[in-house]
Amino acid sequence: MPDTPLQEDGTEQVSLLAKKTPNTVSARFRRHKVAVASLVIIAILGFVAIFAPVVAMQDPYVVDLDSIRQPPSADHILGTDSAGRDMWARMVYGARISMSVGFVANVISISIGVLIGTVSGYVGGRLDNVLMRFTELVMNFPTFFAILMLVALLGPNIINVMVVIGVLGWEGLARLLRAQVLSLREQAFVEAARCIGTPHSRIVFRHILPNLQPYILVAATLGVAGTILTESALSFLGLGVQIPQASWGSMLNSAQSLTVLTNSPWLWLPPGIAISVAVLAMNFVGDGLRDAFDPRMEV
Amino acid sequence: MRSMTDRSVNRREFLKASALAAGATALAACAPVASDANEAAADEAMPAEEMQRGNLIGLYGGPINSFNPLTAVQGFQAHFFQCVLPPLIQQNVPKTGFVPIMAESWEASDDATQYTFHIHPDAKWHDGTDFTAEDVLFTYQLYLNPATKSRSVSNLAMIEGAEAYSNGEADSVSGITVLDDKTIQFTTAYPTGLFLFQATNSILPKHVLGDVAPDALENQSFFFEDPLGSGPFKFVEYQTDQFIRLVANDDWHWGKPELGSYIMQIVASPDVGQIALERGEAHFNAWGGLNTGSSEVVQSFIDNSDFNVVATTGVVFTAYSFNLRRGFFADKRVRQAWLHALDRKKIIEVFQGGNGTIYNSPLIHGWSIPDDLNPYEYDGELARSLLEEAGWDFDQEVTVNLITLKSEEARAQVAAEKQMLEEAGFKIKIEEMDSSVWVERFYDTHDFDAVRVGFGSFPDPDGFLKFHLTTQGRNANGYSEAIGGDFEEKVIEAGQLTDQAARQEIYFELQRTLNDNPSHAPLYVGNNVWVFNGGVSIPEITDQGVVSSLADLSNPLPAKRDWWTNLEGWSFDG
Repeated sequence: MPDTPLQEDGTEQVSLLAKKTPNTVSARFRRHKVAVASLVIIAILGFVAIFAPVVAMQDPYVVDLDSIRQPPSADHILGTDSAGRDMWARMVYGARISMSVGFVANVISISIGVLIGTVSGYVGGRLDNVLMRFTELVMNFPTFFAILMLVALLGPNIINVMVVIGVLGWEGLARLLRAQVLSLREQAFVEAARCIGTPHSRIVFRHILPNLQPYILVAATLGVAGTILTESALSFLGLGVQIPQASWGSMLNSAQSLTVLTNSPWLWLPPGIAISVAVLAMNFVGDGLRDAFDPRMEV
Repeated sequence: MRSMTDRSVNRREFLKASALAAGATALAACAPVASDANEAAADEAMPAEEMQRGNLIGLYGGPINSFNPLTAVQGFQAHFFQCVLPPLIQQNVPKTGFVPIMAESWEASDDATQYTFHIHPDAKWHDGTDFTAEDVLFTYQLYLNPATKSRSVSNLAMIEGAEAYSNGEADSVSGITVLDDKTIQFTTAYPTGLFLFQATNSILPKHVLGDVAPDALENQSFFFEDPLGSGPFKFVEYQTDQFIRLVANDDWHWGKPELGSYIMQIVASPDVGQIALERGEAHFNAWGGLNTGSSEVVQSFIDNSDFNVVATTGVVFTAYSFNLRRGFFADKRVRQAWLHALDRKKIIEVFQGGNGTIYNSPLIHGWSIPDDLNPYEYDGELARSLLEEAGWDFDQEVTVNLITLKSEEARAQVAAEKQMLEEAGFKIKIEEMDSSVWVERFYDTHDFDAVRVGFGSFPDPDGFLKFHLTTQGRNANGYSEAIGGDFEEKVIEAGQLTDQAARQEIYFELQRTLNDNPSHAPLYVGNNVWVFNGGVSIPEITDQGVVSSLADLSNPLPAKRDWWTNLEGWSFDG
């Protein structure tokens, strides 16, 4: 596919042309300005989550019954909650929970999706049939209600939430990857590898999986966004984090009361905005990555 | 399809639109919630005469399970039964005695084993059929028949011959005798002053249900669509999960009701209930339907001169309960430390808007409480030194099981309590779980360290003690084995005594034991708060105890939750 030169500036053209091929994907991505901005936001959220103790400045769990539901002030920049805990600190630690649920649950679902998709597509035959029917079975569960039920049974804590969301979220990716593997395994380079007696495991790891990378990357970013929303919904319903932890969803739960909704917006506005921003940013990055990986897309 | 593809939105545009929509939703959330349209529909259907006599609308915070008194557990159902399917007698409003409902009078034999009820001569079913002693016998046999899934089999076991009947060894209950059409006599297997509590069960019509097999009873349309009653109100219609409409029974044997009709209005959320009350679309919070746990909500109604706010003593006491099978709880000083560690006054002030009464043992019946109980004042230092004296292992983690809390407010309160306990030296892990799992671990497998929950009421201390703390009951705490002595014998003895003064003496003694060697760490009993539209008049409730500030909530009327007697005297002038 012929690419047009990236810049009109003639002086740079030679060096640009020389670098063009290895940089295509990242250059395409960088052209997607919203995606780049979103990546920066995610990086900031990641930084906040990792360095929460430094960023928070206060302990998010310390109850102070003499200063409950205080509006934002110099001492508490986002005010305090119903137990007098600092809202900013809880937001920051909430980022930790929400982001880590997003990532861990996705690692689980992507691992399962890649395993089942690749095996199913590569081995084919009866195993493919069984695995795909199983995938369809899982796909047909009303996922959110299955998650609600499982979390209620296993007990609501953050590990269970991560595992349950991860275990029930891989079907789409598995089907997508199976389709790709079906076409990849018929390609000449795979055939060639097979002819010279390369073992199957090597074919899969050296020739097939690297070609699946773009799909996995896109699915991962979009999946993290979905997972953050699912975790928020669970916590909003009281089935997420354990006392005294906070996640953005559980903080949003206080908006269920009419008096808090009308009198204390600092209790629900910041977590609501944080969820929206994080999910939108993830989606934009996923969007940008997909465009960047798609060779048919005009830059 | 075509127009959809033509106007397709690409992902990027969609995401941008979503960002705008998210902001808009946040703003829209501040707008008031629309109230239920069906309230208006209920109003329109009302004949003019009923409107003149007053059409009272009570708020209900959830759907009704069924109209089946055999399996009933809900307060909602209790209200329905008082209106439509009332019992022989009922506790009076201050809960100091009983008043006749379907009965006209009753007497007990001197040895407290025989109770004779005289049914009101004018008592009739709503179809005009006479209400007779046969109906009572028929219904009590159903209550004692496990095939009906009755929840009263064990409560009624005190009736002579009840167990043989329940086990299928007898065809009739030897302790229930129909003396004539309007007289029925109950004989108990042993002397007891507690039988009258068992005469408060709803009575069903034999002429309607008499031919139904007991095991087919629970699916009868009678219990879902067309109940025939005998009470001060007649059932008209039930719109599932929306409202139940009742009209006055003008032939009611205690006099024609003042009200023309009563609507049980079901609301999806307490916020909808609040708005309905404010707009005059409902007239009081009968069963849930309003967030009376929020001091802001209660204050707003106290400040509004269109409403009367009344507080009555609560029946649910929130407490921690210990598993004495765990070795680390064996020393009573550990449990005493737990009580001293909790600043209960502060908790009530901050999280319950000041509305709560502190108790220091799990028996909350005023007459059973001696005045020399240890008040367990908040004292973190004392708590720590008690733990040290008891040789407490400060690395020992105590898991507290909770039924999943729905609100962040409740979770904030638990977090505050956890911090107080940890400041005294406990290491607390809070574990929330589904109610079915919680119940199984607490009552069945006894697999817990401690729990924190709202315990329901029993009409008499005997019920709570037997159910929770003896080996005859569910024995969740393993209490009577752990403390030994004659605790359990005393409980059984008190339950069989008829002399109230002698019972009180034993309960004083048991209270002192439970206070010094705690099975529970009671936090408080939250009082019930009722908000009445100014037009509602309910004798003994709305004419007394109207509160003028939040502080008054802590001085409630001794009427408990159910003041549903003398319904004929209720009125509404909207």
